[in-house]
Amino acid sequence: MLSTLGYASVIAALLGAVIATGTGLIGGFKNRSVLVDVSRRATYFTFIAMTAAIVTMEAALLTHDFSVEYVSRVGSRETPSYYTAISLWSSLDGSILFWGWILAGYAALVAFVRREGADHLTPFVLGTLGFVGIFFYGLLAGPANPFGLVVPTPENGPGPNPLLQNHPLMGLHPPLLYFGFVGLTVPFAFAIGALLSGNLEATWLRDARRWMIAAWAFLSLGIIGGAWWSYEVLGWGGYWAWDPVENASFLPWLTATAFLHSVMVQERRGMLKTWNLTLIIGTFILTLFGTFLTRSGILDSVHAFTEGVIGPLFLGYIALLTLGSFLLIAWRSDRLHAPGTLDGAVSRESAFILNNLIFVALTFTVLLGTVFPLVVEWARSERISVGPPYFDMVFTPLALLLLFLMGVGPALPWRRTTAEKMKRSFWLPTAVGVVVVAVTFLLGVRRVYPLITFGFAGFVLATIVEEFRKGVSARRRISGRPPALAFVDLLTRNGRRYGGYVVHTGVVVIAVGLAISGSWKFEREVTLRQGEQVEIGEYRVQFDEIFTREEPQRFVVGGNFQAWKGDRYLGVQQPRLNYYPTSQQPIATPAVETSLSKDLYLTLMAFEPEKGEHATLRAIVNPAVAWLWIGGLIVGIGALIAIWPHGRPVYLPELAVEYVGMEEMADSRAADDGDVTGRGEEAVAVGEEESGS
Amino acid sequence: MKRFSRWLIPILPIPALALLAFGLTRDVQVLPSAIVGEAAPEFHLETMDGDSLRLATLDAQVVVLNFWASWCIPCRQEHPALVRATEVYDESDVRVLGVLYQDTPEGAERFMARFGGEWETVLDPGTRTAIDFGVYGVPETFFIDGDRRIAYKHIGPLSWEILQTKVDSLLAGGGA
Amino acid sequence: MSEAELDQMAAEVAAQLRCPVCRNQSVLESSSGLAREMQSVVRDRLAAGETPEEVRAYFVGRYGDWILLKPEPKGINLLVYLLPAAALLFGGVLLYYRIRRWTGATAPRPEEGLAGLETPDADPAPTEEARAAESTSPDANEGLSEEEEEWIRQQIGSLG
Repeated sequence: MLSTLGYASVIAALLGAVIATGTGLIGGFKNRSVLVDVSRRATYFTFIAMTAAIVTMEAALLTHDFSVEYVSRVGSRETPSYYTAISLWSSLDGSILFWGWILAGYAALVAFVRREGADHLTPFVLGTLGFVGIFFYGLLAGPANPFGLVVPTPENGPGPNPLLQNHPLMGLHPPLLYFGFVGLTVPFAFAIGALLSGNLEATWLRDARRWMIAAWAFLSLGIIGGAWWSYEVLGWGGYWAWDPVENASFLPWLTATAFLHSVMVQERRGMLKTWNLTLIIGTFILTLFGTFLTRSGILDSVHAFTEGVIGPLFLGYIALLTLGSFLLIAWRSDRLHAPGTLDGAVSRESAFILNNLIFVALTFTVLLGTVFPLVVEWARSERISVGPPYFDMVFTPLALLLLFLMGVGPALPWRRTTAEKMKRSFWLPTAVGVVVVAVTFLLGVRRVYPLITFGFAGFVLATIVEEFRKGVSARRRISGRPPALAFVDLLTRNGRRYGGYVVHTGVVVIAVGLAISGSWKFEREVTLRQGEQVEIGEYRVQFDEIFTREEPQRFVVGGNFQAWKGDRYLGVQQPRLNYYPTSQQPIATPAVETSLSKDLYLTLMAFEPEKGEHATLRAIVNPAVAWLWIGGLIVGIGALIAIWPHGRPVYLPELAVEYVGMEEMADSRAADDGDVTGRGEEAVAVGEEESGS
Repeated sequence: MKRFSRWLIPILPIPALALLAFGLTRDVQVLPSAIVGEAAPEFHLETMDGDSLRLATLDAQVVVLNFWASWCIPCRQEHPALVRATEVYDESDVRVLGVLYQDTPEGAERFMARFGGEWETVLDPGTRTAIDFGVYGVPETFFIDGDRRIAYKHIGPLSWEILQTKVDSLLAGGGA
Repeated sequence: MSEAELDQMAAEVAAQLRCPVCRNQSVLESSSGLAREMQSVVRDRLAAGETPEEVRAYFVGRYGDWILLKPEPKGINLLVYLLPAAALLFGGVLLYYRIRRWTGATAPRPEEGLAGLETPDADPAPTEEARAAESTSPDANEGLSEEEEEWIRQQIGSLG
């Protein structure tokens, strides 16, 4: 029953998407608002149908309806309900279903916020979103149908992939990543919509940018969350392994971040039109590429699902979208020509352009490293590996350059600067950076990369603080509000800029965390008899005993270890090995004792199976890892500030009347800043024409 | 943008797409072996019966060296092929020898008792011999010729057809 | 060599070897039986006086280049090291000429270097955007510090 219901919902969604695409595109080209209305409704309908499909699947999972094919593969009566619910994304077709649902949700949201006003863009955007959806709903209706009927109904199933049911965190980062990945479809749809409609003035870009920030925020949190999961769950002692699938989430993040900076150059100068389109489209293609990597099993990786027909289909689809998008750019290239001008070679514009160069070089490098084994195999029929030692080597210098630019950009004014101004805005941050390097050097830091990281971190933080100080003091003079309120005003009224600085602060914290944990991590692997102790740094660990525990879905072997940091007792640590019936290798669960300065990270590597007389323990002292999570949180908060729908900023009209006398301009800015629904379109467009082109 | 250069952009991704298409045609499970064609690493190990055994002292023309474990499911699948090999071939021609991989002798004995088979299995404490042979996992089977070179390596469960083809070509004096 | 140094060295070598039975983990990081044994092989060989290079070569002889997480910089592998640098260089040169062209377009006067731009008002050919932004400053100048003026301009600018 649920099988039929679910399948019918998917078919309905597919139909809805076909209609939304057809009516959207035709309505857009022929300028028929009736058709556009149909497209909008079909988009809503698709979302409702996909929601029905998701609810059906969850119902089937939670009621253990093993007649549904997907449930028979990932469900089991022994799996706790929580893991049963999230096993929606534990296998290929379930995750495509989840993907499709989010896509339908985004499409419906776009249709909703752009429901008013007869602009030329919306029909094409809805058409594109529908078109992207057709592929996913088509997969669900055909080769990746999770709702197939299993006859006879099995009594029980094997349960989800052990890795996915080993820790509650598995419920966190996959949805974040999906919301990020799928969210990147929206800016893509705006880009394609703008190309199709032929109206390539900057209006579309503004909207695309806002969706991009939202997707970017999800993606960032998803990546950090994934690192956290990797650290807390996988038990290998690190948080980032340069696994192909980690890279797959990192690649679109890099290009999206590049876009978020270069878009400002286009908004200001009307330059880089083709470039920004390429970044948006490239970002979306990279999400598909990442999904392809995960789903096709083309590179072996923790996450690959490895299944038959989907791979070739996905590749064909990527090829279609890539070639189609770039042909569209080529077709419209005469409208994309922009008379690029910069006032000064040393300006914020230049800093952003340089930032883009490095982001793209980094993207290229990570991409190259990820697929390089394929290249060698193609050319030479040899198998090689490209792993963390390579990536660390190439990533670090480029990342440091970016860190440096993060301090330069905000300190440089738009358009141009003078030697005098440069001196004024750079002496303090430079001094802070130099002092930080000197102090850390005197404290005994001799490694080059960490020293540079600390110096740049000080430099960047100083520029950020300086920006806030300037902003607060100016706001205070204007509004007379106390510093704290003036500070809040900055964040709430110009969220995009100051939220951006908050994000930067988070990135600095992460960079420092990476430098410290990457350089001063140390570890010991020891085999301990019962009662024996080992010292690792300032920690002391004693092995007491091995315990075993039978759980419904797995068999757990763990060790009781007492730990001390200096004289402080840290309690009993229980690193475990979990044995699942479906997995040959045990899945480790580490015991992590976190503090702000360092973590004690214990993994049970082996144990004497008869009496538990001795155990092999890998003990790692991981400094400053907590800073990564804190930094991630700051990034998330900053992104939230940047996209939070603000009220109409009060100070601008005030300014306009009292100081400037430019009401209409302030109005348009206000509309831009305050209105996410796109109803400020007209005013925005005016403001854009003025400043953009 | 110039008239022609604008059509360049759509062409750029084509090599990348072709690369991915190539990626789909291959099997990631098939791993390379640097050791095929090289001399088989010598080992001196104890059999499950407590005898000492060296590769060099085996006088059969072909040695089929099978790395296995009782916990390994595919090993059960290939077991009949090995049993048949010991039945079909004369021991002076073909010697089947097991190497136990990450397993206890007790488990191995139970396995052999349950599934049958008369050939010897040596214990590999510390997995050193498996590492010497570049073993990724079990089952893996090495076909060692009269010169004690590794003529062929099979990853995964062995079928009788493959075993027979390789052994016969080695017995005929050719390569595998 | 002390035990601790040996451990450290073994860990460094093991970190560069790929665990054969895992997916994308190094020998150092994996708790699989084979990886643990491989690490002890590494340690034993180092203890017996082999250099890290010799230990790596031993594993390459058994498992092929696949075992190395960082490919040897030789033959076709050089590409993975050289291409990123080449891309960065190429992009950098391209940008250098681009930026020169872009800035050349608005710098008709030869004396207009960094120093020549002291006063923004002296800009001979302000763009639309620049005029919009600058038209705020002469009026706004009164009673406002330079910083604030700058700030206002940035506010207005960054919103647009």
